[in-house]
Amino acid sequence: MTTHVARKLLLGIAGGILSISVLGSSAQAEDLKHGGVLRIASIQSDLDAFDPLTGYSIDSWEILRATTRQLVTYPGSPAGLKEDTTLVPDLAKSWDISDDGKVYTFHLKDDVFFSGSLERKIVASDFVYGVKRFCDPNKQVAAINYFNLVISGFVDYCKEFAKVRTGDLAATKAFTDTHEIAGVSAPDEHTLVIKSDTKNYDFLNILSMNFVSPVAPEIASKYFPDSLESRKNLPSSGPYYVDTYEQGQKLVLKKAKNFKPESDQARKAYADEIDIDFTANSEDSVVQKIIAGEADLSLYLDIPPIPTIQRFLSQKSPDIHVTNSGSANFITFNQRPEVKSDGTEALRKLKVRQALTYAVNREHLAQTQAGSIGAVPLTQIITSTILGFEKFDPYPTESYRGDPAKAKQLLAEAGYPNGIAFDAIYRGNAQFEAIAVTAKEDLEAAGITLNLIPIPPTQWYAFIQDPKSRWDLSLGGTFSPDWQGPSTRMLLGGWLNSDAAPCGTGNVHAICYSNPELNKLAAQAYPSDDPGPIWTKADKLVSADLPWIPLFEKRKVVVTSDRLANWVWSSLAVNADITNIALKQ
Amino acid sequence: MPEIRALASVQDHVLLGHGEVVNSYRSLLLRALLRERSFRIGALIIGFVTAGALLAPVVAWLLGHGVTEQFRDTALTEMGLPTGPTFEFPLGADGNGRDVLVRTLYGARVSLAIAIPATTLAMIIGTAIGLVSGFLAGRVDRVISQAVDVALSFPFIVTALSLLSLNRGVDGKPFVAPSLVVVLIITLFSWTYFARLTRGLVFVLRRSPLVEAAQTIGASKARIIMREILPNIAPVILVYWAVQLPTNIIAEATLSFLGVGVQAPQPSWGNMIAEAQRSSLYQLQPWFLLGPGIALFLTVAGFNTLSAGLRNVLDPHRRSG
Repeated sequence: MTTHVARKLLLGIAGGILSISVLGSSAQAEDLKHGGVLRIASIQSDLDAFDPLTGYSIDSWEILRATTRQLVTYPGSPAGLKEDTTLVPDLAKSWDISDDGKVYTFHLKDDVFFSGSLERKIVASDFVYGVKRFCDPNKQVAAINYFNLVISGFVDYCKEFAKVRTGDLAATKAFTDTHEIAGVSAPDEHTLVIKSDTKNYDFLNILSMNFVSPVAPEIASKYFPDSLESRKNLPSSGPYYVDTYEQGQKLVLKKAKNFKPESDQARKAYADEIDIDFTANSEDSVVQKIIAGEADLSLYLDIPPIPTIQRFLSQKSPDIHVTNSGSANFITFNQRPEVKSDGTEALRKLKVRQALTYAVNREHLAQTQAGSIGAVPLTQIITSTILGFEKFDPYPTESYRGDPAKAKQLLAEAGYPNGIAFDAIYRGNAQFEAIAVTAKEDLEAAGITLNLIPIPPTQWYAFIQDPKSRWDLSLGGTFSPDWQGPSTRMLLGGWLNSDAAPCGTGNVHAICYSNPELNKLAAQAYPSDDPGPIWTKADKLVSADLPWIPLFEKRKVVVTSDRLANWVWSSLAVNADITNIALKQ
Repeated sequence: MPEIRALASVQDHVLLGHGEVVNSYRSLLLRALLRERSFRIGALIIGFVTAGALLAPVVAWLLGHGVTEQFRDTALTEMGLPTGPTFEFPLGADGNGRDVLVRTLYGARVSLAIAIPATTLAMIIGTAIGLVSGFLAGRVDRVISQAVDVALSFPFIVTALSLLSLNRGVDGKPFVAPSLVVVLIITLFSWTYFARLTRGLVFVLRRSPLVEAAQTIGASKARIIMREILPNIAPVILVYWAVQLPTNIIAEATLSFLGVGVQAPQPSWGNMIAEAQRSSLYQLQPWFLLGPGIALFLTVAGFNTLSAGLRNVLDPHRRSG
């Protein structure tokens, strides 16, 4: 027996909550008109990824929100990011959950279509193919750790897939045509069944990520994932399709003619067109475009320049939006076992990591992010918008200003009485350079020398994930919750859980950490009906062990042009919900 | 041995006379240069900039502000906005609470320490190649001229960026210090101008009575080049060194501005200007931009003015024209 009725009831309640929250702004919603071109200015000269398979940055998710749909999703919230936690049906109209909580049967909507290079109805087998691509040896899904744990037979399927030679599209297609994942099936066009070996309290949240999007095999199998040709030709399952894509110049998304707004509870798709301009190459030029009205939103702008924030605030402008984001910055370590430099060897010692956490001045680092409006000091692994968060500081210092004397003492105890030097990489842009030079200056007082090595931003992720790259610590560690609220699995059950994400996989920072006690707690949390306290315990455990040095938790600050008629946050994008923002007409 | 003593005396006399000629030529030259207004103004500005560069540590000591030292508590607001000019920070602070004046003065050291060796190296290489090409003429000249044309056809920025990005191993660290690579890149793009100039000058001189006379008495090619031609073209080459120097200072600043020259936290005018621009802080603390901007302008203007003065005095074509 399934809990179909219960599911419908839950959906009804969720819908009720949603309608109450929307009621207040319904008058405004009625005023919002369709049409116009939403213009986005990007600092980076291209998208870091533009395929639901590989996109795992908040910026790529911001754009993928327009070109992909999932089984379930979040509708966006005008109030803030942590208010956007209610899942609503997306391409699935309903679903049943087996009594043991391990089998989900989704019933797909009838009036949903691909657009762009292909115009046909989206069917359940497109989801099956999308999941089959996850372990394509040519390019693997960015967050494989989730799926290793929650889809039955996924690991075995991937092991087989790994044997297929790379660079051969025919071999890849032959494999996906002939192999199935035990836990994913499409009994008919409108039914998708996903099985898990265990019950998972956040199963639907995991499916809400952009990875789990339908992909048309007849087109996708012709290209290497996320190649330029694939970016241009992969059909869209969302309200917008790729009309023009010129690398380094622009990406033009147009509203799909076969998109049925009544079948999408999460995206209103007000704008007729979304243009992304890749020609502005600095924070300053992007905000100048926004102030001059040449762009409405920014992309890859973590935080606007401080003078811009001050200007918008002092003018009491309605075009600045601030919310708690749960995002954080931290210092990560190169702990790949094969790396044997003096710096990496030293960082394997807890006392050296403790010395580092005492040496950093978190107040100074928060100041580089516009002070308290942009960031607050962070001393633990999980952040304030995530399930299980309880404020915790295992190594407190006065006003988060650090304690160089204590750091020196710990270094001496660890066998480094004359101090220590590390090769420290950072992303070569203004924001991370400020973090790097500030950390260097403060650590110097504790006898820790950082040899700063800037890495061009476009090469950052490739560099850090390349096992051949040599570095001791990274000043460019960042994370944003994959979804708000019950997303603790991402860090404590994912990036840091060596059962789910063995060394260097499943995250973009090449985290290589193993703590059997944490893995045990995570395994308890996944099937739990009350995972919060377990995650709190796990957080305290690892925050004291310092798998990375937490620095500060960021607030999201966005400035926009005055052409926008409304504002909606998207928790997945940790930014504007471009599919729900209307333009003044 | 009275004959030998007499000969030695004559030699001493001749040498002494030669020394007097040289000394008299030098004082004439100095007087001519000092009479030249643009030389005086240029020298004054360069003297000012050089003094600033040399005295940077003294200024840092007097102010109590190290070049990379941050004063986040006193020079920045809680939001991270830098202070403008004050008694403690004469040109205000940058976005990281560092003293803009101290960093600008240290930036002068970087600019001069890169541009002067790069231009000198370019002058030596370019002149040597130009001498060979112009004097030997024929096939050698054609080959060298083609090589110069090829070198000139490379776009500076794109090539420099490529070379600097190649200067990074798998470990992310540069193979060679970036500042040395910047010197080499600037040299690579400057020697051609010296080579062309020298070749043109030598081409005219190689058929002159001066050279023909030397050939008649059987002087070797090397001797003719070194003793007859080089001294004659040296003043023009030196003038061109002063002309090329400000261009190379800007080239260094451009590369640092693009983030591939001198690396943070060491200051150079280029990376200071870039930081002011990228962070938009120049809107609130204009001296963050104006400090290195004015210093760059002054230095370039100083060397341009100086070279104009040198040209007026030393360039024989100018004097005759």
